[in-house]
Amino acid sequence: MKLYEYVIRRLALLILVLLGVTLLTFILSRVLLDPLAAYVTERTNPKMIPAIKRMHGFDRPYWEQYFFYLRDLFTLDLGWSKVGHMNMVDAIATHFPATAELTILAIVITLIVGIPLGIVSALKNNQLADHASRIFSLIGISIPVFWLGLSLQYFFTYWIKTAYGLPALPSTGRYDPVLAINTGFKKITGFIVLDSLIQGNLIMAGDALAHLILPAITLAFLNIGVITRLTRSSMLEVLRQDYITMAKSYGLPQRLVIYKYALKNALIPVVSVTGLLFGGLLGGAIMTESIFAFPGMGWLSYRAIVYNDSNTVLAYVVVASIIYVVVNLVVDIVYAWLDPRIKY
Amino acid sequence: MEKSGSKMRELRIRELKYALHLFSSNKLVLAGTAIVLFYVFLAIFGRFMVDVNEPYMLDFKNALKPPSSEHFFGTDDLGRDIFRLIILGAAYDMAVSIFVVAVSVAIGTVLGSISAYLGGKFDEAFMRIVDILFAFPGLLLAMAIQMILGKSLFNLALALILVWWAGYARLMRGQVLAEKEKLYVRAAKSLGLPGYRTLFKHILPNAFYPLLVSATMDIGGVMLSAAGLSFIGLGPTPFEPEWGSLVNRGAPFLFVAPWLMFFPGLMILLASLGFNLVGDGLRDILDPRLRR
Repeated sequence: MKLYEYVIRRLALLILVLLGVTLLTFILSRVLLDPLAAYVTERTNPKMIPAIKRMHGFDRPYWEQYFFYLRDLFTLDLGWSKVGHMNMVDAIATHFPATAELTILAIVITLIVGIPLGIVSALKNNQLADHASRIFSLIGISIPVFWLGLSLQYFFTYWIKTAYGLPALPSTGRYDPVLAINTGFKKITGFIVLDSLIQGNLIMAGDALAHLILPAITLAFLNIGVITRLTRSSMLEVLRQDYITMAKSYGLPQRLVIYKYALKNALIPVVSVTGLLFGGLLGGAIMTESIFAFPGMGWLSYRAIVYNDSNTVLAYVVVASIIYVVVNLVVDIVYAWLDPRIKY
Repeated sequence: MEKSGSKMRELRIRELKYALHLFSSNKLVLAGTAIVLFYVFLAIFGRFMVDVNEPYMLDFKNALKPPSSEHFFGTDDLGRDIFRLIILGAAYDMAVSIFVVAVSVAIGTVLGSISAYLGGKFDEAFMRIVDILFAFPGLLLAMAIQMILGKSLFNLALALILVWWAGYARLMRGQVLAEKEKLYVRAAKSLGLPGYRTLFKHILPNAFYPLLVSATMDIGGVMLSAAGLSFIGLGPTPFEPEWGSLVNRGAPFLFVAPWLMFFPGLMILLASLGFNLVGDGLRDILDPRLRR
């Protein structure tokens, strides 16, 4: 099969999967959960309920509701986000950049720490450094994210300040709104760090980074283990191959063999897994964002599900799954491009 | 026939002995096994070591006391001893994670292998369903199911099963697809063995190892998810001292009484680490390519 045929086949399947996702979400949030919950409080007049139902179309048969929902999806008319307190498209447009910023920083930290650890682990196979890095990565996989987040908050926003008088890192939020007003910060793209750099507002950029650092470390810590183990095993695999033995027997220096010849091939699976991690994180990290009250996609979806804001749930799940399947497809294509041995 | 049968058995025993030898010479696996056994012990005998009424023994005079010789891990906002709550909580966490993994593995094995064995349209349709579940944000799905069924520890387990089985189904399908083409399966077919018998008696035992490894490691992962869900507040009642819910109770007192959230979280970390150490070692042992 040619590559473009493969891509077309995958795209067709992708549409099928996305339709399934919308159907599943619809059944969960409209049929099994009561969509009225988001619009009715204890102070709502009971006489108003039929009107509210009619207004949102909840009184229609389910299949009609589902088709209206699909239509709205294609016209990007997704209604009102109750938990986001704004139009749905706006809600996603404001929350997505927050998650994207967090994801990028988390992935950068993951790779900076994870890949070197993996290489060291492979080169010192079964020595002390290897065992240490293996245990470290296993701890990363085993740590409860909420506990890690809370502990980081305790140490970096409270303990270092009270015990040593060091400046504390902010524990919640995305930026300091007072600072934003005082320095005349304006949103352009929604990426706070980028926006403040464009405006030459270094104080604001620093503040946004300070808000990002703890949640990013939390997310990175969970993934460092994955990347380290993968780099290690793939490096060990590559080092065993004939072309490496040959390069060594030519008398090429160790450094050159490892960093020029071995690492290139060893990093191919790392690239693909990093892509998948990226896709997973872009959908929003529910736990991390809730603990740090970081207003990203995960935070939005958490609130949406707890208050059963079915509109937001439906929109969020679709966005998150589109990101997931598209990233999956891109990763597979990139994988084939990096490693011509792979056939479809 | 007889002779080759006994020879096979001998080979199998030798293989098992060798695996056991590798198992016991790997320090990390031994450490993991020790941790797991410790937790299993806590889960089974915890209720005999401390008063089972501890979650109900409110003592507001002694609320939020730091760790001391009297209260090893301090007391919570209701004056309950955290050390004793943690011991009682072991049963909940262990039961939920082992139950979820066992049921998910069973469902995944059966559905995945049948799908691979039948192949064709059925397989194609089945894999699309699995794809949908994969594309759906897992934690959110579990949360939604919990919201539908109501908050309880059992419903939490059900929600997690619905999220986790798809992974095993996919893994098992791949395994069976690979085994299906092998000579012994064709031999079985030509002998006229019925399909279900070939599948369950001959293919499954050969395809099961990778599932075993991933299941062991997943017990740790499921424990994290379960604790996470109950940390969010979708889990047990305040009188079931599941560790995630203990951390949840401790979170508002983070800067006043950090021990409230610290010790239960540490217990989750250690338990999950134990299972991961064992699973990691098992993979090295069971995969002949990694042995050297």
